[in-house]
Amino acid sequence: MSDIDGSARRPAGDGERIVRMPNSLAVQQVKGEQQPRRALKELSDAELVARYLEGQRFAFEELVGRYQDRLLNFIYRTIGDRDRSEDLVQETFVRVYRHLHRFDPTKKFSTWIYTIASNLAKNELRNRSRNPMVLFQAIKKNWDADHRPLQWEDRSYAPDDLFRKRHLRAQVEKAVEELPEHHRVVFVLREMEGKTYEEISEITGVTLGTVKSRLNRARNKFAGIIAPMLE
Amino acid sequence: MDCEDFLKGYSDWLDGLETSQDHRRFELHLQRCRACARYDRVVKQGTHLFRELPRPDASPDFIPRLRHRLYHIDDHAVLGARPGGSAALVAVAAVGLLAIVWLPFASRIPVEVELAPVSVSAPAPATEVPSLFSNGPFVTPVVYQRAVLYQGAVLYQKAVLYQGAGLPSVETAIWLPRDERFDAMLLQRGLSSREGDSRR
Repeated sequence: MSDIDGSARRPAGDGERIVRMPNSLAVQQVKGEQQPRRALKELSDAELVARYLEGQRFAFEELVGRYQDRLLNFIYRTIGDRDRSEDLVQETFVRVYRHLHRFDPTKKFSTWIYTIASNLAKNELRNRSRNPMVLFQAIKKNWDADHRPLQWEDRSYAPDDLFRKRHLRAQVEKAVEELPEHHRVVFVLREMEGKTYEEISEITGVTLGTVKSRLNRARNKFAGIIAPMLE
Repeated sequence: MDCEDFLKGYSDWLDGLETSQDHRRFELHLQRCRACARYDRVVKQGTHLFRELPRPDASPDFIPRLRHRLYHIDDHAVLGARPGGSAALVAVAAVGLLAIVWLPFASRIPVEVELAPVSVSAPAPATEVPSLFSNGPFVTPVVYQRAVLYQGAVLYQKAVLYQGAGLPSVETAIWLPRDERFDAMLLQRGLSSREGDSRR
């Protein structure tokens, strides 16, 4: 199991030795395999897609490495469930893998992959709204505490400051959660992911004017919630 | 510029999308209006804090899981590409289509079949009293007499395991103490015979 794109080994039954199973990648003519994987890091997304379609298997792995954390953060901030977010990121990559040959190289790859992720997140929220048993706050409540890496005490912070900082973070998270879904997606894409208005418009499938209006409202509401904590 | 205009165009100004003339108007308004200056400060600080929030890391099995899923996609792609596989699919689809087309005609054709008369003998009277419970165990009159005698009953339940597989059946013995519940059950099923009841 040395690479991401399916050239995995599968144990065979009945005492057979482990054999390398055929797959579409294996049967593809592998061009440019000799190119060091390090060199892939210097390529743009579009170039990586082109390399992958030419048969260079590690190019897909590089794309996964570039986007897995960004997408996980985006989906997590949108739906609030860490484990489900990871599932959706997986699903995003599976869809990308299946349809990469259909990708329009004149478009931006990041916009395309974010569009897929955004649609999956929206579907998740829609499904969840049909099943009110799953609550955003309930899912998210303990994640930070459970997943925060172990840290040594920072003596530069007074306990009061630490408490205040944690409290502020919690309030900021809460403020974002309270935004309506369509405002939240735009807000996260702009503020967290640094997307341009045009990219957000493409990802969310709404007009530029709607993006501006939603972002302005999202900022307005966010400020309204967070203001008492910052003064 | 008033506060309403400021708030309406705030996002454009924050993201540098307005003209240079508008930019100066916004700057001027910020210098004069404390409320809007506070609003600007809150948005900037809040979004800064939002960007600073801890980012979740993918779990260690993220890549192996993804690899596994992609592997199966390739597997299906290879299997789907086999000529035999697609031919079989086409054949199944064709048979299905034919069946759908033929079904309305088939239902209109009346079919009359005359069957030979079958003579059967009447069943012998049952030696077993009907079940006390819905699916057994069974109580025979002998068991009932014993139950009266011993103030309880050993009930046998026969269960066939793996029917058709030629495996033996299993018999379970249950001791049912004779009490009011036992009598009530018998009464309910019309099995009670108070004759010979030693308790009464």
